[in-house]
Amino acid sequence: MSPRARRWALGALLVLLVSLPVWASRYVVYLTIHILLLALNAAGFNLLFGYTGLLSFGQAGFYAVGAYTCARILLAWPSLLPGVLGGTVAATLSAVLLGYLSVRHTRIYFSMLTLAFGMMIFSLAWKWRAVTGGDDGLVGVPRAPLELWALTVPLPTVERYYVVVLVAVVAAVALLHRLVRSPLGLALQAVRDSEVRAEHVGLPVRRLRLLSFAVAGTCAGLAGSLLPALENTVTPPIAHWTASAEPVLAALLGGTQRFGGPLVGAFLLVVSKDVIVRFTVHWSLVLGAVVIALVLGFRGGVVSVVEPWLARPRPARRAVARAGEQAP
Amino acid sequence: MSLLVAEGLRKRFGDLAAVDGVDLQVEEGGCVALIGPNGAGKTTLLNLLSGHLLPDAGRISFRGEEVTRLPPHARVRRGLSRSFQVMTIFPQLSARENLLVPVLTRLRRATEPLRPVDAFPEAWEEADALLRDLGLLEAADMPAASLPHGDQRRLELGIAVASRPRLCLLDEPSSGLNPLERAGLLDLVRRLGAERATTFLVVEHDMDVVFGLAHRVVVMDRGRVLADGPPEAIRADPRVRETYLGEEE
Repeated sequence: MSPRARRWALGALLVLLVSLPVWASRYVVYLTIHILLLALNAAGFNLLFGYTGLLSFGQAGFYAVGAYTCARILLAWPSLLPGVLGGTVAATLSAVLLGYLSVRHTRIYFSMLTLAFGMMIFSLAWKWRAVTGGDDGLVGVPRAPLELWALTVPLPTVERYYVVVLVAVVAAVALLHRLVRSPLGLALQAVRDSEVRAEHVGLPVRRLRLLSFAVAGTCAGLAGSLLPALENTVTPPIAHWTASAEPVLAALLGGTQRFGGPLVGAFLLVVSKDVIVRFTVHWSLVLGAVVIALVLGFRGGVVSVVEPWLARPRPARRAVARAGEQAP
Repeated sequence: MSLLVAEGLRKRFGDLAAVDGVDLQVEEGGCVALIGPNGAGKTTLLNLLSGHLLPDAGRISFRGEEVTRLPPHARVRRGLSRSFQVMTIFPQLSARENLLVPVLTRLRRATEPLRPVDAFPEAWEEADALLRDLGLLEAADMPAASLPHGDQRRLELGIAVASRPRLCLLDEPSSGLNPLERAGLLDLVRRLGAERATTFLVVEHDMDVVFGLAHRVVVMDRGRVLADGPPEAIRADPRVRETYLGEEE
């Protein structure tokens, strides 16, 4: 897509999202919140996978750290901002700690370590009854008001809460987008392409991997922190490794080579799950088949296949124009 | 002061003493060729000097500073870079991005998280100037993996010099090239070296090229330095003729 068409499409999407509570049913708004949370989680996951070359199976762990921490804060101090910030910071800290231990390895070894750490967080959620409520989880979490300085915004309805989630997710995804276009994003891709070459041009490879891991954990943690106020409960299954598969599937579905891939994938995954659940109790079987069909049918992800259809030949980038000016 | 001083370097792999007590000094300027039969330990020596491997014994100092156990990225920052025998580029990045990575790293901009890459015109211009020297400006936006082999070889040389090293180690930079491309690439090495005040230590197999390019030749055999001197002296050295040049002819 040309940059202009892209801007228009993005603008239209934003208008659609902002106006959603006006014209859509409460259920659609609720579902869209889930799409947004998964989109953020998957975009963060893909910074690690698509851009840095590390496949993590432990994102649900950081999602859960965010969710549980936020829920505990909201139960003690019903104010949304401290809960969400506290949950996000806790997730970032645990990602730095576990990342430090994980990024010494790559490929399958890295993946297995993240899976193991994720499951350790799951067992904590399951067993540490005093803090997490065990298998009951934490219940009665209030949808606390958003308090900004003197201003207090109550969030009694899902529609209002949706606006908070939308702002948080759009801001986080926009930051992530800036990151992948920056020199840091380029350095991460260099690490993905060739670890050896990267360290021999002067890049601190392990530190860059840790940074990427921490950012991905932060995204998962922010998404998780936005969950308790929506659902009013937090239960251990959100930490399970099968939940870690969701951002992985979303990224693979949409495409890991494009920034927008995981976002589109999150939409497809949540919507197809919701539709399939209406027809059969064996929804996971059908969903699995749909995912397999999509992944095989759209090599490289839905976005990589669909975008060229919409694209006219890509106009020369600024770089080429500049090089042209300099040429004799 | 010597640019690089290595003393008593040793590296074993199991029973094999790949590098078995090497002393080497490299002075600033020009091009030093490192030759020797297969298995002589040339690549292992380069791996020790660049920090890709750590030595079992010995020390390395670079510009008067001990670097023996520093990781590769810290050596690059001090002005010591390298290329690899097996093609080592960033395949999915464009040719320009392949050079932007080392240039941005040298400018201490590689971890800028929020400004777009094209907000750094000084890095951009430097990368493009180097692309022009390499004859790759036309291919600037192509993924590196899609370039022909010869272009990829030149790109790899470009990556190694883009960090403006004082000493650049090249491990068979022309491997897989035909004789014509080979001569062109080594000509490029000479030109880049002169323009940038970079000293090269080059592992090379083509003897004609070696004797045309280098002002000094170091011959290795079985992990040791067998001979070391100007090309004419090396060519005349009977031990070298016996172990190495003889095989070639």
